[in-house]
Amino acid sequence: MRELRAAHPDRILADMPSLDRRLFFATAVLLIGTAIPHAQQPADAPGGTVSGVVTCADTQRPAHFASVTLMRVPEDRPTPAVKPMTDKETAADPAAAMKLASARMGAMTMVQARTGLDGAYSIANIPLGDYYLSATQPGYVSSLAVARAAAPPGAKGKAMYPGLTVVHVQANHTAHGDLILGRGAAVMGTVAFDDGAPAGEVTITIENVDMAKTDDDPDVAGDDAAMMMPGGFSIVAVTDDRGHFRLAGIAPGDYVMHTTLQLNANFSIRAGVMDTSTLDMASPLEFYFPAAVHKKDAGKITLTAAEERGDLNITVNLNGMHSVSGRIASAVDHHGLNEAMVELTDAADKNFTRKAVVDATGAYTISYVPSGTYTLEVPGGADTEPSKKKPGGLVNFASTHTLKSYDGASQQVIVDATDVTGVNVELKESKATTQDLDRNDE
Amino acid sequence: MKQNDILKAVLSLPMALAGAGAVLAQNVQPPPAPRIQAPPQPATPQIGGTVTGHVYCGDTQRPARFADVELLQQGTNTTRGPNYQNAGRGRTALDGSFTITGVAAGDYYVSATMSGYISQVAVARMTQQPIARVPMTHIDAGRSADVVITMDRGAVVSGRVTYDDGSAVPGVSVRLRPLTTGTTTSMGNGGGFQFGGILGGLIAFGSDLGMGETDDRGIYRLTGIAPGKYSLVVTVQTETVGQGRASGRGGFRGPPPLLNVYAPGTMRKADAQIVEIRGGETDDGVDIRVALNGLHTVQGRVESKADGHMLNAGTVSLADATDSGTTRSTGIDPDGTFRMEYLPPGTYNVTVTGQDRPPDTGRNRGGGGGTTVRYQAVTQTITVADSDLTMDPVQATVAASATTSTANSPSQ
Repeated sequence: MRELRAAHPDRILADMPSLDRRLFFATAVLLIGTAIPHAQQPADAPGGTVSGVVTCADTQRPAHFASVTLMRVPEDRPTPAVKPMTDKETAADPAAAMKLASARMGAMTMVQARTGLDGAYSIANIPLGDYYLSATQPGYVSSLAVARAAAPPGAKGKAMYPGLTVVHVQANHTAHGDLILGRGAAVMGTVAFDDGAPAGEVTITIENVDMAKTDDDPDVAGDDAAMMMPGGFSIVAVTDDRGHFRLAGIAPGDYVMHTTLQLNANFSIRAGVMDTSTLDMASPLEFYFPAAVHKKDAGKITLTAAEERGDLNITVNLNGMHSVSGRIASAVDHHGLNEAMVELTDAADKNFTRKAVVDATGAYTISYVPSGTYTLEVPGGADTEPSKKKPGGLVNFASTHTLKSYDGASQQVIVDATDVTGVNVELKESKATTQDLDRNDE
Repeated sequence: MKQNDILKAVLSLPMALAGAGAVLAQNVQPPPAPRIQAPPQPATPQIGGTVTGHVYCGDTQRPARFADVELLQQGTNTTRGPNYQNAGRGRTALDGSFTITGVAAGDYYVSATMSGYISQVAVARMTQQPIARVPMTHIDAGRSADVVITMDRGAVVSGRVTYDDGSAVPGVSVRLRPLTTGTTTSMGNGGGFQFGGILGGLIAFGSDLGMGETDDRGIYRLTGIAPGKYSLVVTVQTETVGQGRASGRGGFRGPPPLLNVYAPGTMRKADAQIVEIRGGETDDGVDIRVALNGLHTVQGRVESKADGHMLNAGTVSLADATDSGTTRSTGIDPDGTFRMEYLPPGTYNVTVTGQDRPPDTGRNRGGGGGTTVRYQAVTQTITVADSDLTMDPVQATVAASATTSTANSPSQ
């Protein structure tokens, strides 16, 4: 595992649209490694072999060291008797969600291999059954992604991958599966601020318009291997120091593209204890091609097979934006609460939100808010003190003990030509005291 | 960044938090969940001091937007060389300003990282040298210190990586390796030069300095390079972790075999081209040719000297007899065989370290009992000429302290 580089936690935040999806990804990777043991039969049970050759359609050459994936056909694998969790449930109990995702993935048998220099591969000891066969190589479209894109919205089970090559694995037999990889479309461009300065090292994502709709259906997403394949749902890149990017291997279709700016990513570490309370407020800002903050204003990009586009520039304009600030306090004695999150949601675009957390005095500032009408929501608040529990783990996080809880409240905020200040909200005391926040509790 | 890298990135967060291998070994127990969209978070009381400041780009004199700022404290125990602890971080705003609160009183290096610019802390990490050219900032509890950082534009090295048939080598790692490094080669691993343990690794900015990946056309671009002498190496992964192979039952066999190819196209480290960077120049033509046709495969098997049974686990490493910097490694398959592909002609020292592992039933992964018997390392010298080579069976003897219970130790 030496290869794993430490990631910028904020980049992770930026790239993954929902917690559920992040959990899925993290679990999926753990299980790529463990999928084979999961699938393994007793040592004496006979397995089958799959072999074949992967060729690049454009060059007619073998695909050197391409990744080949075998995935058990859904109807051929046991259905996990667990219902997927909603995003809300996931947020409430991430550990349970992780276990659940693991259980669902465990039912999925997945085997990966690489082709050699000659494009050939051979995978032995595969548990018997029917498998989808697909391959990926940078710049080429995964056949899995193509099949997934052709599926009708909301498709489940076998209907998720129409037309995908299926191999039948029998005991002590070698099934043959050749694949031809088609060159994908590629788009290039620059991300720049409105004054022309390049936006370097920001993530850029292109996603299929139709597939993005099914992305949020947890029942599909929980079972969908296309999510973890390059090009399955979206393709992500990072701009270089000049703000340039290149996204390749894109299947034909309609796309929207956005860049994600992680505006805030602060934390401190004292005596080995990491205080992530300021990191939790990280609220990324997305800019859609060519220069929109709302997805509905995004320019649609239609790509044909193997098309190269070189002019898809995104402008990031933060100058017309303003801040919203105020204080969250107790309705009883008006003291500032030291724990509360404040969230602004655009009245005309529920997907556009900006967030902040209060400081020790109850004050908050939400940065980079475009003009518009918003609902400002405080889901709840609390008076807290640092937890007295001694953390003893390898990595420790600052935790808090809740003294008193407060009910949520919301109000309307209009942002126009200036910063909006004095948006103060007073919260009523709650009847029940919420749980302590222990960040070391797993 | 490819989706794959994001997978890795996502994985590395909980991995790093939980302490690497433990998570993989015990996949039933979930790693700490990403602490991201948690319910409303508390603000910590403002104990400690505050660091504020501005970061500027030296070449354009403009504010450095959304640059990362890192606080590092020098460790007190310097018996094994300098070591540094991360104490926090922040990010600059549109105007280049930043604020980091809740910092314990003390002396800190305040360093910035931004794409295309030289991060002195990243340079120290890369070269294993003490941090230089970063002034120390003193922070008092309850007070605010102001820091101005001006970043120098770094050099750029770019080029194209191709196979010998002219086709692109896509999606592979390309790295500049400094020719001169500090006293140790591994970071945070008990050596002489360290950056703050697991937390340090998790939040190590610029740890990817001089590293990049080829795009689908085989083109790479490395930026923010400090002056110095480097070799340029591309790493091709020829197998996948968790792969099933004709000879084995699959599963983890240790790290996947990696092929290192140095510019302009050699597997021998001693023959690597030297890339010298003097200032902020751009070198656009450092191409690498990955010539794998006509190379050879070495295979063999490992057995017990005492009774001739095949060992079912362990590692095989290979070093060029005339260039000890050129090494390869692979695992021993469960059937006792091993193979290394794509070796150029030459003389190699092959070291085999075998084990008897309890049978993997698929249920006892990560600690189902049984014992592992370790064998002494055996080194043989082989010469690869103009064909593939099958070595004589390697005969291993049980090591002195040979038996280890694997009840709780992570399997490879």
